[in-house]
Amino acid sequence: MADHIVSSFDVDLGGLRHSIGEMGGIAEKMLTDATAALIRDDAELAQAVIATDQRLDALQREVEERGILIIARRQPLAVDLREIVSAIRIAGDLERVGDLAKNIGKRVLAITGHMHPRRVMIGVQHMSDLALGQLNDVLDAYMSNDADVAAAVWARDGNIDALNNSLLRELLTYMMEDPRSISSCAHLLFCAKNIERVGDHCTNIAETIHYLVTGEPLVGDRPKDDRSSFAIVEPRPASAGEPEGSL
Amino acid sequence: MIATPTMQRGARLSQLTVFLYLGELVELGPTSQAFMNPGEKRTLNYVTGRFG
Repeated sequence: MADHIVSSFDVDLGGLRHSIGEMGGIAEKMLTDATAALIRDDAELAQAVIATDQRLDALQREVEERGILIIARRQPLAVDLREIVSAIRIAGDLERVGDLAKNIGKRVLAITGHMHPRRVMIGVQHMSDLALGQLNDVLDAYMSNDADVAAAVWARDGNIDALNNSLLRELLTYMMEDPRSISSCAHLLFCAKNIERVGDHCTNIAETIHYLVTGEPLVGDRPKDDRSSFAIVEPRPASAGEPEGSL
Repeated sequence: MIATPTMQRGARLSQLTVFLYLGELVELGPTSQAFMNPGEKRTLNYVTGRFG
């Protein structure tokens, strides 16, 4: 698209995009590091993730303030106005991704030194890889103004939901089998839920990009596979011959 | 009906917007569309301050 007559307007808009790019990079690194800290039981790395969140918060405030200033000074319309509203919305989503990664960091500190079921850790890593892939793709879609790539991200979120559901069932089983694992499994449950919500923020960003590029909302039912709200794992029946009520 | 080069006034007061350029009717439609999602490239470039 052609430049504005007032070229400093283009500089303002470019600055917003640059900040979103920086926020995206920080959010990706926070989630990568939070997951690595969880898998490797690395308290130092978890602390680093927690400390990084401040930078993301500061950038979000900056994007908001600059966006409002541009609206006041330039009275943007059409795609320019959507550009600013979108930057403010995406900054909010990325800030939340940072909060979720930070929360994983805090939980790493809470459960450090505990044994974690290996199969669950593989599942968490896999889920994190999927979420990072979504985050990477949706940030690419933003940088290249590609509504189709954004729509593809939006349609793929069901994979993360399905994985979260199976992890939940697995963790419930572990907790039932060994009550000593309950506190660390409960934290792992929240870690998985945090990653699942990173996926949700990616779909929010995808919707925003679609609106930014086309001026229309992304409509239709998103394919969902989140049955975790209904998951129940029944305890195994007591074996025959055991007296009733025994543990 | 008002004719104005001041876009803010046009956007505030009207329900329908016609964009005329050098005597040519470029676009006619709801004001919300003209200012938020114009169908014509020239309308878009005008309302976003890319020419004119």
